[in-house]
Amino acid sequence: MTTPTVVLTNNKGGVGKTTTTLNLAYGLCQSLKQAGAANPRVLIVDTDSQAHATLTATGSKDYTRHNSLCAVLGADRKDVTEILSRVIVASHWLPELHVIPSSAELEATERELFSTPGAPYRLADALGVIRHHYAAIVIDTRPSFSLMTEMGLLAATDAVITLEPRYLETVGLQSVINKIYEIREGWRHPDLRLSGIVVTKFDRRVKGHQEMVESLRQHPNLGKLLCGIIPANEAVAYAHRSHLSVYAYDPTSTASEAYAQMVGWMLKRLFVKEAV
Amino acid sequence: MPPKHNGPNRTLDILSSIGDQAFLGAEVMQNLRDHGLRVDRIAIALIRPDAAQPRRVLPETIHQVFHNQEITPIQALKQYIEKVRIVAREKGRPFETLLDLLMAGEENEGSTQLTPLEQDLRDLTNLAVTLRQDGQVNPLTIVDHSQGAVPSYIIETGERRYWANYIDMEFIPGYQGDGMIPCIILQPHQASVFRQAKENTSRAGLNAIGMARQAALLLLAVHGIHPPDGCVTPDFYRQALDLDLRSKREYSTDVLSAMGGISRQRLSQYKLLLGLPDEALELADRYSLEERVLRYVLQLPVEMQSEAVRQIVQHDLDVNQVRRMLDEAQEVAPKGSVPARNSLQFARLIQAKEVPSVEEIAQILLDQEEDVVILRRKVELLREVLVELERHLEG
Repeated sequence: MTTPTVVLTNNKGGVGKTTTTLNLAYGLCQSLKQAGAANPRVLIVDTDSQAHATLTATGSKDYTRHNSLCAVLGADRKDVTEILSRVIVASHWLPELHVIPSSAELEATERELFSTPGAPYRLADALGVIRHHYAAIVIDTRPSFSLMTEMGLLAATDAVITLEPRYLETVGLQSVINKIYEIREGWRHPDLRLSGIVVTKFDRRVKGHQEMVESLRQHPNLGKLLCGIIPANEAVAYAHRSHLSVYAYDPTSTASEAYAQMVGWMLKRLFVKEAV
Repeated sequence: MPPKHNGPNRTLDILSSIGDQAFLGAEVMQNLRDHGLRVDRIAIALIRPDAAQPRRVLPETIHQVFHNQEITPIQALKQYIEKVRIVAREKGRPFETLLDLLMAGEENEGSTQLTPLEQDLRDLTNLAVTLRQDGQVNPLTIVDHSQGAVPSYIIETGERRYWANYIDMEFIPGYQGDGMIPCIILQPHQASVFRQAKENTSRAGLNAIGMARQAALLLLAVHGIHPPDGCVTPDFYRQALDLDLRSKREYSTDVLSAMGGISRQRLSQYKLLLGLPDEALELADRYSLEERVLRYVLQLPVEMQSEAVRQIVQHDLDVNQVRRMLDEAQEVAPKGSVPARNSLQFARLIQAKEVPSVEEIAQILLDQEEDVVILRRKVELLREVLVELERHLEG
């Protein structure tokens, strides 16, 4: 069984991609340990130059182009293994949860790669070298359909869309799905599947949120992919500020419970050998 | 705002409900807990050979430097190739590339024999060419030794295939692979010194010194002594000289079976070879001298053992020649105050008024020895004795 590689994506910003990446990765790692998995290691790949996932999971943002994802993407093929060994760091949450950190210089690296043949596959090729070492890989993407996001999608086996329960977001959902299928069909990456939709910042007091979630549930295809409804909860924001997972910050919060449910759903999705 | 209800137990509580069978179902749990063996493609740069592996692929000196982390695998191979180039040049068979060595080996088949150093590298190159042509069918077995976020693996079985892959990648033109090789990954608790031993002893080619190191590793392992991290010197194996299976009878069958089903006596004979000095060990290993030859060398004083092994290698002496040479050497050795019979004969020869001709001496000695190689060795010893004698008389 190949290592499941989940990419969290949406070209809209502020929809909870980074928060979901972090809590999914931590939840998977902790649950795998809890279940007695032979290999509980999980890797977070931060492809967003804002490096928020990096800061929250490692407690540091002081990464440069020499010890971050920039170095991995810019490396010659024969040097990739050595550079990955140097770049990957352990999170300060769990020893089995590792991070390929991002840095502000990632945008410059991306620009440099535009003219490089095979650039979209650079992340997939690099992760191929260490994929076997991990039970799962979770990729955080930036809020755009840039080369970096395409790299993330080409490196992934499972795409998860995060979205806020608002009208315009729902309209934009189709463009995200189209992008995933464009990568799958147009770029001949048949291993990529749309594996889940996570609704974030859900407020049950807002009628529009309830209607939107209900319509998603009723949808014949998308309804089956609805893997989490994360309530708007101040614990999420404070967890970021404390550089903690939401489970560690406030295990009794509604957001913690919702993310835990989502992790369980993803475990079933990722670790059962079923037809795509 | 400080964390609420923070604590490892509360954090686990929230996720423990999903980490059980009732929530995930039997199939997910089975997949998660799947500790079965499977073949993965691993980047060769993440893999290191086992420093304690009894079967040496690299010459001992390069092996030590490499495992001290002073040189990379590619530098180790470059040094190895250079060492073989020097030997080949001395023998009048210079080669430029490894493919030249491969061809030279074919040309020399049946005529001049390659030295063991040339032959080993040629065999390794041949394996590399086979890997290029047919792919690697037999995966390496590696043990996960990752620490922190850095993945790393140590080879349990398949070190020759590891080096052959590097030769294929770096020293044979036209490599188009991705630097990944098929491996079976074991967790540290699954590693077994017995499995490694069985792999080593079940195939041809583990020479007497390799068997001695293997015996030592097993004896040390059952006594709870494990190899240090990094370079493993001959002194590590020599610790086994003080150990046996008497106090570890429960492991006797496993150890003897892992050694290829040999007897206790044979195990002991191999183990005793570790008493040879470092230089003798290296030469005996490189030239694959037999245990029954080396056991006679062990009877000599320690300071003579390396020289004896050098002579055996230089003159390609067989076991009978070595036995006779050493028996006679012991006969010549002074015993108490009474001079040995041979010493008296030698003294009389020197006192003789008329020195016999070279032809006469050669004929008489050949009649006695019936072996020109032993005779030549004895002449060399005699020359050394004469030099010593002169020095003694001057004093």
